[in-house]
Amino acid sequence: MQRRNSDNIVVTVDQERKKSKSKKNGKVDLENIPEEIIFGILANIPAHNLYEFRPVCKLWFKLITDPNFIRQHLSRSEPGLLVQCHVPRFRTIFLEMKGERLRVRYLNLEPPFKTRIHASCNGLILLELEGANETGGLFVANPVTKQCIKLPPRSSTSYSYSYEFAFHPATKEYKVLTLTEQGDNCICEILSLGSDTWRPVFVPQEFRVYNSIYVATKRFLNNVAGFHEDEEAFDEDEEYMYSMDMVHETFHMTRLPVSAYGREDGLFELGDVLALTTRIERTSRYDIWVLKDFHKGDWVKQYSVVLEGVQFAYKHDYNALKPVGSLRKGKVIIFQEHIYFYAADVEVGKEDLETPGS
Amino acid sequence: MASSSSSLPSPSSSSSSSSSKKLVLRSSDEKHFEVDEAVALQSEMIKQMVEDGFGGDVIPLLNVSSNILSKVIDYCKKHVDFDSKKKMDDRRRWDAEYIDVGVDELYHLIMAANYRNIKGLLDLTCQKVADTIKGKKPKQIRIIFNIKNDVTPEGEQKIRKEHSWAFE
Repeated sequence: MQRRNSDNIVVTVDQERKKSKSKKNGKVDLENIPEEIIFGILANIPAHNLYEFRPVCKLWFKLITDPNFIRQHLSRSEPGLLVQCHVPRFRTIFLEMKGERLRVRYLNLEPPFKTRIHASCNGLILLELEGANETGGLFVANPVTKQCIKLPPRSSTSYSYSYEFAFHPATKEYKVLTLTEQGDNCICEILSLGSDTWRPVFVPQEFRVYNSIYVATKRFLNNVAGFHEDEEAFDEDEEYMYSMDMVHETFHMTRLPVSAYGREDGLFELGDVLALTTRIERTSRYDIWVLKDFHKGDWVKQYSVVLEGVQFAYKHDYNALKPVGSLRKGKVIIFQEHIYFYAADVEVGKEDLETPGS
Repeated sequence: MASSSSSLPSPSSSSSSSSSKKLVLRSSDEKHFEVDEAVALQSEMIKQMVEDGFGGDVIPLLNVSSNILSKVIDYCKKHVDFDSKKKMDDRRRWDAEYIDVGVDELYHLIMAANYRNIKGLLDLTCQKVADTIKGKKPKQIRIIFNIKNDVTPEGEQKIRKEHSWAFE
């Protein structure tokens, strides 16, 4: 904070007095608000509303488009979750906490976006447009500003089974990763946004996946993509998670705390750590394991939540239920089953059922 | 500025424990308010003045009227209590009720919070203004803030044009 002495306080005060005198008889409203307060107000406006404010005046345009403001705005906004359902066809659903309720709504991204969103990061989405070579391909887009950049073509043309999109805060670098099956091989390519070529990354033998359709990547600590599967080469009782550090581009193998029965979809991000849920057989209770220290591989059974509503409201298969992520810095876990979403408060253990509304 | 004092708690009646150190604040309309030091120190500006050795005198707040000052003091007192209890729900509820005021009062609160540098109150008032104006059209915004439109119609059209997908 700036140090002030009493003299210059009086100066400021006199100036303020003159201002207020000049408009004494008019309606006060919010005129003559200093720029730093405007900054504080705009930092609290949701991005999509804020974007509509750009034509207000030159000062507001300058404030809203300033990189420093954008960073602050991002750090203040509470993250939501973006989920794309393939049935109905590529509907995009946005989940966020509003007060104590989970708000679920369809996000209208307009026509070109009836396409696949592979990953998202800091409000940006990695998507693939289907179609001819010239129009198709991978894009990184901002759904609010509708800015998008087309990524350069990759060396391999086969279908990639895994995509990841991560941000490294220290270098402010965005990286896109793809895993592509080619014959018996697994090709991993990384693109740093801003660069015009994809870099091949050597995948160690034991990390190459031949027959796996269900490999999933998850971001972790902003920089680790994890993929996980059963591996018969190891002890049958032990299951491992395979992951990749997206900053150092190194591969890691972490033993799971309990058997996930070959299902990779129990892994999710809980706040800024990686977590695994397992269902207690024949109940609606789920244990939540948290990977406290990634490098040591220390898992701790942190929470246990009961999804009671699942039991009596819908007789769906519990196996279709999976965690999709967390909100409120890991205090609320979101489970998904088709187009049904369940929010479980880790501290209370109760859940709240929501479906997408208008 | 408003100067009505009919609804004020009587100045100097704001002491809750007589043992703690007091500071005296003076509003623009010459009313004196005696408050606990902890309450006054919610204001970074007053904190700075006390550190600089001005705490013994009456602290003049020449651009804050007595009714706004009394409202600001309410906030600071309540938040000294909240800080010792950490009940987030109570705090949210109280804040929501507290800030449910008209634009005119909101304006004076925001200016007072900024001038006296009370971070919590500034955040609360900024959030309230944000909630009030979000979803409004640029034209309405200009009226609310008395902003002169310095963007030409062509400039505005250009800005809007940027707001559509351009896949190459």
